[in-house]
Amino acid sequence: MARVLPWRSLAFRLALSYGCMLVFTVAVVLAVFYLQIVGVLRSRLDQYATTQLKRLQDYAAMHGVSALHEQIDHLMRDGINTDTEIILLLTPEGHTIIGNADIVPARRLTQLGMRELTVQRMGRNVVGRVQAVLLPDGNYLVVGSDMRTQVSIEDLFARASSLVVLVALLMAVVGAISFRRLVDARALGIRSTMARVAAGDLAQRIPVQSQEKDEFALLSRDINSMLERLQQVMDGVRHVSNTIAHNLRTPMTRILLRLRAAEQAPEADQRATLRLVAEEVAELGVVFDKLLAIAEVESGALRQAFAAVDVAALLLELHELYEPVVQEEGGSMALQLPGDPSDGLHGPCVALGDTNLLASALANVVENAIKYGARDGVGPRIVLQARCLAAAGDAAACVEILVQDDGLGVAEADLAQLSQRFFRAQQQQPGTGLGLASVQAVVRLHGGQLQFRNTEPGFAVQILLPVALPPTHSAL
Amino acid sequence: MGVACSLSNHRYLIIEDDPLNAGFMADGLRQQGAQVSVCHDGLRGLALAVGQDWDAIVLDRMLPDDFDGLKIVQALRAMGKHTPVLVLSALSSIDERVRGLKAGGDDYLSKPFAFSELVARIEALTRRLQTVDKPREMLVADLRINLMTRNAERGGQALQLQPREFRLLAYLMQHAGQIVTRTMLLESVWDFHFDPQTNVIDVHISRLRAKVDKGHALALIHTVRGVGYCLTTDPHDLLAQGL
Repeated sequence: MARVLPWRSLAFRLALSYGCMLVFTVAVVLAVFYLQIVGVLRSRLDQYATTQLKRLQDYAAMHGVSALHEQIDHLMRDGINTDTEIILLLTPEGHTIIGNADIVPARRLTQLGMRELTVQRMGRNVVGRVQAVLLPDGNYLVVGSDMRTQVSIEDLFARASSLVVLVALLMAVVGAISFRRLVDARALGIRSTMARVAAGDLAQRIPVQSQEKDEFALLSRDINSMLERLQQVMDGVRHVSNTIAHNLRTPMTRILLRLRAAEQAPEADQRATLRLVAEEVAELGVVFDKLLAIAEVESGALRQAFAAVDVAALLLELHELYEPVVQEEGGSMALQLPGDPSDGLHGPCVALGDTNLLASALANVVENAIKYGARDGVGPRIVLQARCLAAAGDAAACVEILVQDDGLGVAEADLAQLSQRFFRAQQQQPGTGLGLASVQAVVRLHGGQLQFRNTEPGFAVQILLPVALPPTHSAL
Repeated sequence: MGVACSLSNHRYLIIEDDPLNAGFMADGLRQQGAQVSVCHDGLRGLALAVGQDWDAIVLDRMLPDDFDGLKIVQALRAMGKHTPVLVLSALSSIDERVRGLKAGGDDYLSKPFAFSELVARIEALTRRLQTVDKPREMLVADLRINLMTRNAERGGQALQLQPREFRLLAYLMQHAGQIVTRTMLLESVWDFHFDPQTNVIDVHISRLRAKVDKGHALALIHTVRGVGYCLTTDPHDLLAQGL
């Protein structure tokens, strides 16, 4: 059985892309944090530089530039921020007059205002965030702070962030792989069962616990019920072909024996044999045609041609066709159709179906009643009835067709077998044993039900067909 | 009424892949005086069917090389030819019959069939071509029916017929001198397409016969044993056909 390659696995790809999405989100969040923190720190440094500078400038304006030296010296020694602050008084060439750092190498400042400046402080190069101004005497005053703290915070943040992203990425990959394993294991159970079914063992079922309710369990149950149905159909087909083989071989053997016997017989006997054989072959043709018709009905393809069929009108025509036959035999045939709604029968009986098929099925049932419905030498008394049954409880609305005779009925034990192919309750009467089987096939095709019961006296065949909705309803 | 010669001087084409079957059919039709051509494969059959004029074509559905006979019918109809086609098939009759007829075939017969059924149907198809417009009145001997007023009379006496009996009589008169089978009657008069297992058609015919022929010296409705019925003034012609 073909295995799923890791990157082809749907679970793997889904989990991986979901993980990547997560990592991306985390990265965006961290970036926003970073920018915010850096911004806040920087503006604090800027504010500090601006305030200090303003104070020194005010001092110089009040007491003269020369007094500034003293003040700067005081600031460098006051113990407030002395380890981070940068205060410089520079000559125009960049040499330090007084201050706690030097510009190395000394150079003329080209840019005033807030800027970053690399200075040497206590023998080390540090980057400072400073504000520089040109004093009236041509010297520069530079005030600011060393950025080491901020840089170290930024570094820390970057290290922590990349660690977080790395862990998230790792989780995504590990998650994808384990998801894939999990799904693969569940799918493997289904696939190995399907492989055995494909190899011909239709009895295989996918193992599934009854308490499981996830997607795989539902899928497995669906497949199992499909397999169940398939197996039934296959068994049915096997049974049918065995029966057919048996029922066609018997007459063929008879024909062959007759022909062989006739080879030596006198001419008059030969002619009689020929006639008999021709009849038998014609009968076989009828059986074949019926079997094919049943198969065709069972295939369900005819459902496409379904239209609304007025069952009452159909019964009326069948009644008209068969009543003379029944009368000839000394019997009677009554027809009960829904008249006006006041007598408890509802409206017209319209079923969805194929008129030709329904007509042939109903004719079959009526002919059975004519053949088997007679009793004590009196002709059959047959009642044809159609009515609409309204929906009640779980039962949908349906058309009920009832064909009832007052004959001897059928042995209770045989009732269930009546609609099986080639089953014949009365062996002494001529027949193919296919009539009710084809009726059953037609009724099933229409989604209806076929039921037989002894009515003491007599026998009733009940056909229930789903009602066709009036076109006005379906148009809504 | 040229009963015995209803097939004579007509040209028929049989397209059927089984040579023995085709041969039997052709011989049988020739004995009735018809001119018959036989063809065993689809492409030649198509060429013959389209290329010449025939009174009717007998067509097998399943031809060699997976050729569906219905293609020939479709080709004919596409060319605007209305040659009647009788479709034969070993398939079951219900769905295939409908499909066969929808494709433009005029009648459908499933195998195996009785030769007499085949002849009756070919006759009916040939006749249909000749009388495209229906007459308003039909007359056989002293039996007269009017299709407009739906009146029937025999020897000047009005016949009291049920609507279905009238249709039955009208169908028999349209095919006067021809043999019509029970299935043909059930299909055309009742529009039912199944093979009844009872003698239902016989009962209806005998009722009609009681109204039409009773009390008249000349019987018009005749039973052709093992085949069907024929409305004719001269039943001896039926015997001459060997039926």
